[in-house]
Amino acid sequence: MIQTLIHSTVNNNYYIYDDRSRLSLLIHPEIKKVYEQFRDVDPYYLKKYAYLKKKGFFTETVVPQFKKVSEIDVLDSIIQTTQIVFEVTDSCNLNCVYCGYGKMFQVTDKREYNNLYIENAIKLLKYVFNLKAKSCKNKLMIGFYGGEPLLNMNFIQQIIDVVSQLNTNKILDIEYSMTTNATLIYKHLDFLVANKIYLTISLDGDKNNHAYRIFGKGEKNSFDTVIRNIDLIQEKCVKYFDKYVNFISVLHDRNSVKNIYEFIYSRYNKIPAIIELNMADCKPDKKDVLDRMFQSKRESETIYQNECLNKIQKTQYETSFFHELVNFVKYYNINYYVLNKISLYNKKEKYLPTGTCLPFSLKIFLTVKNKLLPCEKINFRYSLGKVNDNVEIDFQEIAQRYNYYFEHALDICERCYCYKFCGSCIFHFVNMDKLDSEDLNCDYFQDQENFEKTLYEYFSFLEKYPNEFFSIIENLN
Amino acid sequence: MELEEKINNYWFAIEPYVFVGFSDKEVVLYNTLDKQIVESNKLEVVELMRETLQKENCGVLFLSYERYNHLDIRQFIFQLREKFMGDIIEVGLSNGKPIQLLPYYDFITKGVNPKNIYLSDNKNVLENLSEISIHVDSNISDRLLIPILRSIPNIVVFNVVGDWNDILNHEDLLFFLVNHSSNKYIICSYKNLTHLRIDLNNFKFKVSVHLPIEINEWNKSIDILYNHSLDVEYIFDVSSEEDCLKVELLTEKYKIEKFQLNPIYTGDNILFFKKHIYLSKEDILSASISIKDFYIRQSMNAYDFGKINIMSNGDVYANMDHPKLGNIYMNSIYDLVQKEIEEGLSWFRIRDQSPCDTCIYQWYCPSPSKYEIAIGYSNLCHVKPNSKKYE
Repeated sequence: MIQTLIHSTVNNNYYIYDDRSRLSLLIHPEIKKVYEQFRDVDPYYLKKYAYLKKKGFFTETVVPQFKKVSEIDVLDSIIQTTQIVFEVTDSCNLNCVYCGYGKMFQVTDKREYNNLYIENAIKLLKYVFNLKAKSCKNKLMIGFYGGEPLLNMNFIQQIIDVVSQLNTNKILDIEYSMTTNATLIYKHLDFLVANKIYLTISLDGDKNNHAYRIFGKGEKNSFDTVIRNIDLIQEKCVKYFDKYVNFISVLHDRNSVKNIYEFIYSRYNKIPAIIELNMADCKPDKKDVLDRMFQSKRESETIYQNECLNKIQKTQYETSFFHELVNFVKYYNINYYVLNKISLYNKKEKYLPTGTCLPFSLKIFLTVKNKLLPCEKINFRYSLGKVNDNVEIDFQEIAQRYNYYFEHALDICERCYCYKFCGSCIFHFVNMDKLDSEDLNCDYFQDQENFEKTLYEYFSFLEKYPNEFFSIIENLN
Repeated sequence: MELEEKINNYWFAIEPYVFVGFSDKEVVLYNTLDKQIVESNKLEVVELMRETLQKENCGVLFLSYERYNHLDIRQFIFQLREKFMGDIIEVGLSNGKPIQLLPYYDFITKGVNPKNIYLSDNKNVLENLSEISIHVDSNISDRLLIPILRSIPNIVVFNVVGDWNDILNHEDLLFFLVNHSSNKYIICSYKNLTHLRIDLNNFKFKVSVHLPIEINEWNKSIDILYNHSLDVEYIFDVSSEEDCLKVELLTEKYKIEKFQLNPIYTGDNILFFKKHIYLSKEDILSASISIKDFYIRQSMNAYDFGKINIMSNGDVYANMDHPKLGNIYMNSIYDLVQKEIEEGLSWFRIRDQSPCDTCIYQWYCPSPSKYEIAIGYSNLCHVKPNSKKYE
């Protein structure tokens, strides 16, 4: 049950947060004294507290209402999906030390140097295109993932041709994307540019920072090759580089948020996405090694924000803290209604437990073993369908399975002050693989005390930078 | 009630559940929790409120001891505190300026185009659709229509509108809708309602009645609807007080509890409208208005937003009093929705025209309705009686 609470800020100001109404109210400290049942309180605030109670603050505890996934939700999600991503190949010319498919992890589908069958990829494309409404405003991203996708260029070329044919009737707004280690770009640059393929390049910072990203043979750091290729794009194709090239960096013990930002921004004028080391499904005997390699993003960001004198201006909007603050304004503040107009008409709001997306609503990922997953970041054991002779998706079974997963999360979500939106995917919950025997554990669970601390941080920040509140609202999307 | 008399500076804030309406020289504050109002036409007070709502103050204004002691301001704050609509906090009680996270209203003045939210790259424009009315007759093609309806998110309400016999002839469409999880309504006249298919039980019915009734048809429809225990709401067209009396008699006689009156402007019954539809200041302020209502009124038309009508020839309208958006068989549903968002006259018809745009009750009033269009004036109220013709 979620209750109205009072929290403070670094400036010693006090606020009521009322989940039911999404209102945050600045209050006189006397109200806090009433709330905490002090004596000798100004009688006016006794009356005001009583008034607020009469209007539901503090009295109406919220029991979050959760909905279930239905078959039609699954079908609808496929119809409206925004991405189809292909695991083009499970081969890779690098042998990154921390790779989730590498020797430190329990891998569901072993890497066997396979390429994805083009016929199966085409079957999936036809299946989705058939369901899609015709319109040039209807966006669809086709993604190429690996392994290293540039090791199977033949597949990529064929897919682009097939999509072009399928799209003559549907006229969808198609875009292409690829996640690559950038070692082979020099061979295919003209093709990438001609087809306007968005690139996400894995780069962990400078040469020392990048030292875990090594070639398969000889364990040589891939940095020099990667940088040579990126420089080539920047030099030969300036406009393409500006618009279509982005970076992703894995944070570990050989780099830091500061290293990553400073190297990539100063060299390429881009702000990379930074992700933590994947720790799920590691082999028990490798856990110590991975623990030593792990570095918390939040802590590294805090060091960067607090200690770095010449911070890059844009990076303050990329921190985990700022993203969470945006989500607070977006989901937990009264200005939720600026963006969610449909909710203005809903009397009772219901949520899906956890922050898991509806299956396939964001993307449909096809693996080289012909499995269908809702995302490439999910363990392959959770596949939701297959492509064999046909695309095999059992809507009812998927809905039932998700509802089964969610039933196990309900106990956590019902008590969590972040139940409206938390962004945490159930497939990454601790004990997700032991649902029958163990309780799920969510790393992001917030009880009242934790949530008060979180609000303390948000409101202290906004008191210091009040313009950011408006900036967030005016840029909501 | 009065704070202890010391030389204090204060932080002044209004509560986020209070809506503030301005005109040039006045301010009206409305408490959405209990409908209490505080009004002022004092220059100092209007200025105080304007400053408080400026972005740079983020909902909290520094109020010096001298300013607080201005009689008008002091009285105004007294009223606000008495009605729990605002407060002052001694500056010395905290180490820095607090904030008040107020609802972000008044997009237009702030230069934010609310339409951008609906056209965001991260949003599927079809998510804005909430209701589709399908007007059927013998022309409409189920075969062409059903695949289009299937591609629409499942949050939509479907209305099947038409003559009862025509509706029954569209078996494929009805079959598709019966098996659809959305809310479904059949909107038809009580006339010709002679028999019912049992599988339409999961539709709700809106039965329109134009006076005077044809008694035989009426009795037949009553028998059928009652026998099947259907969820029925009657919509009575009324254009005079006499019609209203007739409806009262009918609903009493037939024990009809669920019904609505649908006022019809005939061109010569403006007095009926002025008496029953036009709003006075008292009508406006006595209504219960929520924070959600204020958001709706400033960013969308409460009657039209999210709704489209598909006519039997495929033509699509957001509001049938406005130009068509296109044709469902020739244009994609995406393009039609996008067109309404970008260029349409219906979904975003709000009170931003003269004389409403300078009225202190601009956002206290409900969204413009079909009556403003029918009568031809942009305001149907007694607050600004010298209104101008609709543009």
